[in-house]
Amino acid sequence: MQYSSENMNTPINWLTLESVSDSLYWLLPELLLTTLILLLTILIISPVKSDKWQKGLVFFGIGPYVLVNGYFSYVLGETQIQNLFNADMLIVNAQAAKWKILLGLSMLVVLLFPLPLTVKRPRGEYFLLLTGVLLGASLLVIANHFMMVLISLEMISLTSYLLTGLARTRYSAEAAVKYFLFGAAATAVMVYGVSWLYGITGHVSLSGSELAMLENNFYPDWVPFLVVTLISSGILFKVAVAPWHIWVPDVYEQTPTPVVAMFSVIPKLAGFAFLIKWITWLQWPVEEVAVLAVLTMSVGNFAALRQVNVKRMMGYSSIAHSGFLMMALLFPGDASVLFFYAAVYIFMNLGAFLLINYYERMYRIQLIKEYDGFFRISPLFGIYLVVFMVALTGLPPTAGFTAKLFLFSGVLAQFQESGSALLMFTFVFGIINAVVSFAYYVRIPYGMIFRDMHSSVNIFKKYSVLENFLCLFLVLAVLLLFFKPEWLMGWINNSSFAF
Amino acid sequence: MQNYLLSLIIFLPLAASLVVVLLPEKNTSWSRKLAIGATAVQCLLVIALLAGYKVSTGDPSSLEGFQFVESVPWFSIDLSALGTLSATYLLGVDGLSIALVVLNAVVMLISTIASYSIKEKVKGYYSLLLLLNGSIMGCFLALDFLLFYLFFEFMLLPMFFLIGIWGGPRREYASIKFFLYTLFGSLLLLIVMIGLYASVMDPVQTGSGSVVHTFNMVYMTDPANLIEGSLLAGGYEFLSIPLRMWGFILLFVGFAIKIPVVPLHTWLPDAHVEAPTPVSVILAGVLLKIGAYGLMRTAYLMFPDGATEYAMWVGILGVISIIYGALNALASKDLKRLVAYSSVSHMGFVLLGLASNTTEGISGALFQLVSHGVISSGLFLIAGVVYDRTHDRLIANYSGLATKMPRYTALTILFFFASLGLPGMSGFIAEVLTVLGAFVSQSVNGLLSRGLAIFAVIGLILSAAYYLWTLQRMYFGPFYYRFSGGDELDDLRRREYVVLLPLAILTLMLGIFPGLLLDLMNSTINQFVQLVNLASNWPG
Repeated sequence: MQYSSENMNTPINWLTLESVSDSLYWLLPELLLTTLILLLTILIISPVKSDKWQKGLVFFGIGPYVLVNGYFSYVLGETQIQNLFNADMLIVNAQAAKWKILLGLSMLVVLLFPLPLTVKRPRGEYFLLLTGVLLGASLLVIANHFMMVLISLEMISLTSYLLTGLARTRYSAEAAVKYFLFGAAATAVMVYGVSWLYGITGHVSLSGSELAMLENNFYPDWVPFLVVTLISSGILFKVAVAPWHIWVPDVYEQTPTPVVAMFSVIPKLAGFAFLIKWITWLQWPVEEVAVLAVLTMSVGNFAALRQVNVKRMMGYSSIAHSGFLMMALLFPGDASVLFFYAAVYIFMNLGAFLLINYYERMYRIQLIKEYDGFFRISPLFGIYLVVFMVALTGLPPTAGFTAKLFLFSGVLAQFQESGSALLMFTFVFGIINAVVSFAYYVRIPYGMIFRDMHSSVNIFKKYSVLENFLCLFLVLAVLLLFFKPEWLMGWINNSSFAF
Repeated sequence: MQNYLLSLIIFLPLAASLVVVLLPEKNTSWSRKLAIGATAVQCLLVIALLAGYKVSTGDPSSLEGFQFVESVPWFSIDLSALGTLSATYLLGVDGLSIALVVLNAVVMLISTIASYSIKEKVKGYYSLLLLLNGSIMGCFLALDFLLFYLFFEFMLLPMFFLIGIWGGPRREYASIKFFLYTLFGSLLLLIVMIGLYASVMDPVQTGSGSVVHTFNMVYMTDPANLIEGSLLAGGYEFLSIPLRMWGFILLFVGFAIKIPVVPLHTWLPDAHVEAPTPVSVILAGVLLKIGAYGLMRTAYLMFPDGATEYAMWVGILGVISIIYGALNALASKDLKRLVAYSSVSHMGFVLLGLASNTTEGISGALFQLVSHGVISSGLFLIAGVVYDRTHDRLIANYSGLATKMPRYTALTILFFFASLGLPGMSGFIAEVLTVLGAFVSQSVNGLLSRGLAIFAVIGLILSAAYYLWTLQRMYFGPFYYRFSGGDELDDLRRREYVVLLPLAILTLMLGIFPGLLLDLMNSTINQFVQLVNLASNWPG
């Protein structure tokens, strides 16, 4: 084995008391979430039966989480890096703090989603599990070591399996078991890959020069490829990149909508925040990323065309967007485009799910054709839905267009640099996919506006002012960021987005 | 001094659209009055624009060639690796756009007035109509590619809903088809737009050091602004065709869908047949013109090398459109479908004139745009008159309408003859100029062969055939209507005069005094022809 002497000689960073207290300071957001989880556990076993307390507690926990990260992104400035406990395991910088702000904010929006009727009381574990996902995602963003990556991925996965089965129906149990089996297999494959990496290099952190050792001539060519593929599959599974996407449709269809909205945003973005680090470190060949990107968006978009269930369709749409996000990994030197796309994706996707949740709760509808004629009942929500669908397609005047514009410009710039025809194909495929995606996104608003209702409407739940305001806020964000993209881009760019 | 006239012209209908939406539901007549009022005021503003427009200037490759220029920074973003991206809210008018702006204002006013037959969901209808109005104006006036693209895309949605909600029995099919075709076209534009943005710099802001990329369409027409070694600065190939040629091809296909050019025209007859009359008027009167205008403003001025390289192909497509459209019109059983195919045929002349790149040809193409806008609006209104009375447009179901509706027949004959190119009317001037351009092109710049001009004339003969045959079948002979005694077929009503007469007068006026229009555009056209002929200045 390649236990080379130079590796053994790397200087050991001794842990001092000072550095421990310093590190704990930078770990404050995660500590906040951990405390929150403990408090929620106590509340669940306490005699308090109302979930109001838990809900309030979650907001008081995640609100400060966002604020602390905001403060960190401000103090850390452009290039400062905090290596926690000098262990190369967790690394905090302004970029990571910004990713965490994004995650925290989307979690706050998800928490405001009214829960569907299928989720029965007591709902305590709902908030507990959501906080668990956020903690896992938060750790994944700052992880710099495969031990940490595995822990955080498992943190996300285990809570996700439980959330999938939250509705406690036969189908949701089926989805949960499927998700668990696929997920466990993906994790196993990843662990296997990590053990190869360790076996070859003696290290599993992203800070060293293991890559060079992996690629030295001592091993046949297929070894580095195998190792990278095995390790990547764990993360690519989480972010639903084809061909690791097969769990998505079933899980999206059967899981309560607020949870699906969370699945489509938080694990995915945390995964991409880590992927860009991993790809930069690996210097992964552009061609492979391009092939995965094109494959993913095509699989997602073309499968979505034939769906009848809205949530299943949105599942495929989320796969397609993973493909677009993969495109941003073609130029990993500049993560600002990825971040911008991710932020806009949060606004439009959460908006779309908010409306799907609304219709599901109010009228118990889940099929695309059941939306027919609903424009007359709530024109305002119909207009909101049009905006979100137009944004998801990527047409002006929405920020979805701006995000795709930056993305495609980046790919073209990369083509200019490398001249690889594959990049041009990726660019063209991206645009073709945008047209194809319109064909299914438009089906819901189209039926709402042009067709007549199928049967009489039964209203099950009261109209929620909160939902209305939340939607309005998301719509305004999606529109404003088209006219003023520099508001977001300026904030992203005030810290360096390269590792 | 900053002049806000152009912004006012664009945003007045948009603001009015918002007001219409907010009007109370019960009093629907107000939305109609408001829409007509706003469009009329817009017309007055356009007249003011025309009065202030100086015919002497007009170099479309520098900002000095434009008048009433408005420029406000929109956004400027530093995308570290990709350079700075800057977009401007830039409006301006020159000889290419001024006539089309006037045409749009007139056609919009007439189609708003002609919307009396719309009885359902009136509020939504007028607000969408105003939205469409504003975005079409924006298309003609925008000089920033991103802004142009925004208006170009935004135009689709109101049109889609106007056909899809107020259309005929097959409206669902027609509206989706329209949308998918045009969306596909606009995404081709998007590809080129990103390529252009990556390759063109802002010569003013790029002083020292960092390169500032720009969406400015005027800067894009000057080869000096190409960034060294960029995608469209030559040297790059994709599938063994140079990227600059791709740029022209994609822009051409994108706009050809809009014009429409055979074989990308199949959405047009469906959309026309299903759309309500006033929407058909807008579709034929101005929407198709955006395709040709965009071709001139972007494909020809930004890729003159592509334009000269593929001139013959463009010309051939033009002639195919002329003849194929005319043959289809000859075979049409539905009056509206006939007019729609005649549109395809007549827009073929625009393409032929453009391909020739001679002063005659380009003048003819622009003249044809305006002339066809006026005439086809009239023709669709003519078709609407019968449809309003009987809800039946099949040519074979009618005969001898002249005996019941003599005044209507007189106006029909006027518009038919204008369209088939009778001297003294605008269609004649336009078609003579384009065919002349195609004819002299062989000796002037060698782009087209004379044979094309000869084939185009065959199209003229065919158009005479289908119009005269229709006249004979529907209007002359003994009166006959298939389903009743024809009591409902009364002669023109007052409001039908109101919309038809101005168009008739315009046709005659442009036919007798073509100078009115030609003088307006002449200096820009001369510059345009020179710029395109200087294709060798472009790298690659």
